Amino acid sequence: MSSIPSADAGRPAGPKSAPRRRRPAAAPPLALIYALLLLPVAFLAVFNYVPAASALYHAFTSWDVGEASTWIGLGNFRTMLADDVFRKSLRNLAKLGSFVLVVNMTVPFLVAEMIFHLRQERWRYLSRVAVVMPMVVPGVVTFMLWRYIYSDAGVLTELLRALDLRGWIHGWLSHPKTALWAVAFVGFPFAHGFNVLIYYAGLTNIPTDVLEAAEVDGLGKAGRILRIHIPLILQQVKLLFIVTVIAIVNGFEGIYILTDDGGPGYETMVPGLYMYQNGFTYQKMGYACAIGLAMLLFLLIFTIVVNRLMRTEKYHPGAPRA
Amino acid sequence: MKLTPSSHLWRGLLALVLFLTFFPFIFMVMTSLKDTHQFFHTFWLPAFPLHLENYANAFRDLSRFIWNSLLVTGVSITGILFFSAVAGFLFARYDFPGRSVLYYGIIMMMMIPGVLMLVPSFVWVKKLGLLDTYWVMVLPYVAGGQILGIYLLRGFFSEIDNDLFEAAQVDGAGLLRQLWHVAIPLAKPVLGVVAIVSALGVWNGFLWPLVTTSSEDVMVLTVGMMRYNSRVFGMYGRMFAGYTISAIPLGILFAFSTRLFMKGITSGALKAGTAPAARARPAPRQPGRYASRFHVYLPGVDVMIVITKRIKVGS
Repeated sequence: MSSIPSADAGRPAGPKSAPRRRRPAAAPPLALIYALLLLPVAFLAVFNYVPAASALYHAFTSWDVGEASTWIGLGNFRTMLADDVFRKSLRNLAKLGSFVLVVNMTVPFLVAEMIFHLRQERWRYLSRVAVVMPMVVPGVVTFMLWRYIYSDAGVLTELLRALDLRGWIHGWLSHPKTALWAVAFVGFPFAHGFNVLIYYAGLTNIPTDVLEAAEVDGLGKAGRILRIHIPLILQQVKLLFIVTVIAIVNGFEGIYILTDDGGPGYETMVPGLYMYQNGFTYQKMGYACAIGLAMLLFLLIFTIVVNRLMRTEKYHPGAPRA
Repeated sequence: MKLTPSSHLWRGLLALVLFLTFFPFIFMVMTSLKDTHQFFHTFWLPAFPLHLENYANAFRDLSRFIWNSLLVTGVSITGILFFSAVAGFLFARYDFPGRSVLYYGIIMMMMIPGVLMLVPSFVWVKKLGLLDTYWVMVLPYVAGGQILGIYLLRGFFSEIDNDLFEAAQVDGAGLLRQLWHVAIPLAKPVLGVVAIVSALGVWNGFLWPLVTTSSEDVMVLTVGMMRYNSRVFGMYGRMFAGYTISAIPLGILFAFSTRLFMKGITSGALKAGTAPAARARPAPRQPGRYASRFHVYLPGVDVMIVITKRIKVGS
């Protein structure tokens, strides 16, 4: 056993693979167990399984509001391939997503390193508290703040005026050239609290003797980060990679608040927002379900592929390696 | 770590990053205390006198939404904790026909992001006649929120020694008494984590209440903020006072449970309850820092791997 897929590592064993759990002598009546499980299962069935089944079915139908749906097979997916707006939304997502992915993977790592290098535990703790603190502001309000920052009376405009760069002032979110980049820079400097905490947890997992050995061997700080820290936190890197991509693909709440409809034109349109608009603005429910299904399939395949390609090993102190 | 120039540099950089991260929020609080004249004339600095009436005005506009948010969040969390504890306990402790099917049937839903089912879910709750009620938020939040809770609590309960429950059994405690008097008190730290994760999710929820509620009687704060924004257009002090108020409830939660909060944020991804597990079991094998080892997993992915493995083994 030299390589263990990381996702398995911390998983409590599944019900069937827990042989030590035997049925106690005085087992309660089965009817009681089922009665207690009835509510949770019923909730899940009604509010998760029914919509999921409906989404799956209606992805293959033409379904306008107030009308019965008609089966059109892969029609929606063919429409999608030929749909200029959808293709534009994919290009936008690719641009926006690759930038957001890179900065949200790297900056939090650097911040976690900076915190990890603080000498006193008190400061390390306070710094972690500080990076998490912005999360008490509702996400919606944070986006509203950024919309303000980019606005005519906003911080960016005032900053440029103070620096005597009046020529640069323009509507960051309304100009076709800058809108997508304005969206991308929301959250600057990207010290995302969740990501920092995950990286930091990874760094504290590295056994002290490994770090000390590296120091004794004369590895400099950069060498330690490159050759010790990064290889030993690959699990966290993989986790954040997956979580961040999922969040980018699904997240259109911010764009909805910043630009309302993916404008100017379709400059900030992303597939999620397009799905939303098809469902609630254009009333093309079947098409909306198809876009949702396409996004889900993409994410499932992506997750499986990343898990297959990035096999990470758990570090076993003292355990002989095969 | 020696005190080298580079470590000064790192600390300076860290301070700069933190300052920039906080800047919008500092600006928000600062401007929330200005009137429009002060806003335009002393843009970058605090201005006196402080205009606390901005807060009174903002609160008057937002109090209904805040109350609705508190209600929806409170009821949802109660439901989530109740369902997670009961189902997690049953799945961990007892063997009954259909256990695996039910358990994986529940956990599998973690793979499907709710946002991708927005449209069919909306049509469905409309058919159920739930639009514009508290229920349209509470019921789906409980249904979705319980999944991670059941997962975490089942994991927690199956790590607890059976002896505790067997002792209770000998004393004549049935399933319900074991659950209430033994299991739930032990699981308090994990329940706390589930409560925090749920609170964050429900309080921040935006798209679902946006599409399912339109009456201000039941509208939650996130959606209400959109209306508030247009209502206070141009009145910057009042607008920022409203923004600041929106952060107070989670701010209080954060202040009173900082450690739990920080654990809660990552618990979707990091195995929760290292401490309670260590308490319920013999001392961990490795001393010192090794004991605080976190295992990384991603519930959805995890389940997928389990399921694909089962299919392989079965065929």
